[in-house]
Amino acid sequence: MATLAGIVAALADCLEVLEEGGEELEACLSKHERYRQELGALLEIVQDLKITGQEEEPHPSDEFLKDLKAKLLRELPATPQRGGDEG
Amino acid sequence: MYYGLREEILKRSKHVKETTSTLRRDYRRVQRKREAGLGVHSKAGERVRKLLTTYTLGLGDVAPLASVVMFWQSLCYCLVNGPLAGLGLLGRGDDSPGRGLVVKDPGYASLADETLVGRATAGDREAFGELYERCVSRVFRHVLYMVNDVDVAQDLTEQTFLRALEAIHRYEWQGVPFLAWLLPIARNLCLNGQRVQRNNSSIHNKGNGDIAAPSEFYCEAKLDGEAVWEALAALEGDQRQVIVLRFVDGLSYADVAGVLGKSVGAVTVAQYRALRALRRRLENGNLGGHCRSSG
Repeated sequence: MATLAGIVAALADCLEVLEEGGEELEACLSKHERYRQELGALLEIVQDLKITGQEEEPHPSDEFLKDLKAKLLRELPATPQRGGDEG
Repeated sequence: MYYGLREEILKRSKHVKETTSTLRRDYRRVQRKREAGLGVHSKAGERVRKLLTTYTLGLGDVAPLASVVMFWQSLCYCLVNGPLAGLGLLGRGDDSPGRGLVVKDPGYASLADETLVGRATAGDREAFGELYERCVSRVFRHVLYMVNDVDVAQDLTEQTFLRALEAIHRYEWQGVPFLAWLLPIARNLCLNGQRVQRNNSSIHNKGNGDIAAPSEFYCEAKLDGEAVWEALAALEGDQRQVIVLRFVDGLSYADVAGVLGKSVGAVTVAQYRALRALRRRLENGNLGGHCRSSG
């Protein structure tokens, strides 16, 4: 019987596999046969979000970005603060 | 005559810059869709297909195009700042006003957040600039989802970075990206602002807890009518944030939990519920009318 905990764990498992990029979607789904149909649909949505996400998202105006950056760089202390070790 | 020529060159340079930027974005999008085995039916795909037909974007064609862009940039820079100024144009990372054409040192882009924060606290402006570039749009979007007002979102984004600047020396690397350190600052500013607003006004009813409904700005920002983004805009605030933080910002469960003040277990359940709600909306075509007016 399908449970909330079961599908949540299966989804998390498949997402981890996808994020690591080492396994095909089909292989992941076959590990969770009981949830195959629902997982397949959800993972497809995730892939779509990831593909289009960076460019579809709302962005602030270029003018705002430029002005804020200039303001922040003016505010940035010229002298080292506590914890300012070189990386 | 000099000023007329300068204006014309600036205008043409801007056009070349915009065109190459659009094409680069479209080309990346089409490539990603192809890599994911998806068809390309969007306007972006059309634009790139047209470009491929016209120019065949091989290396031999990209190089002359890049040369033209760089030539225009150098020429404009010399005309605006004097003939010798263009000599120092390339390889510098100075983003001070009036130097928008400067090519950034690619070295900073490859540095880890931890290293950049270390350098920023030591007064390295370019390091802080890189951190800012990495995070500002994500902070803005996070805030926008909460306040549903572009002007307020920009104001709160500014406040977030100013607070971060004051406290940056307290940032300690614990495997948590700089963004995950910034977002709780932004979230607290939003919640405090909303608390003040509630205390000052009884006409505050967004009907969705602390988080506002998706904004028109969000809807207008989506391109090519991607249905999934329209469905996302119609989700409830917390669900929308979990999805965006996980799959657009790429934060881990632990980082999302830290940002939203929830447990990791709660985030995994919320992630499932949010995806299920998205699926339902997509299947039913029930997008709540949030973005329909934007076309």
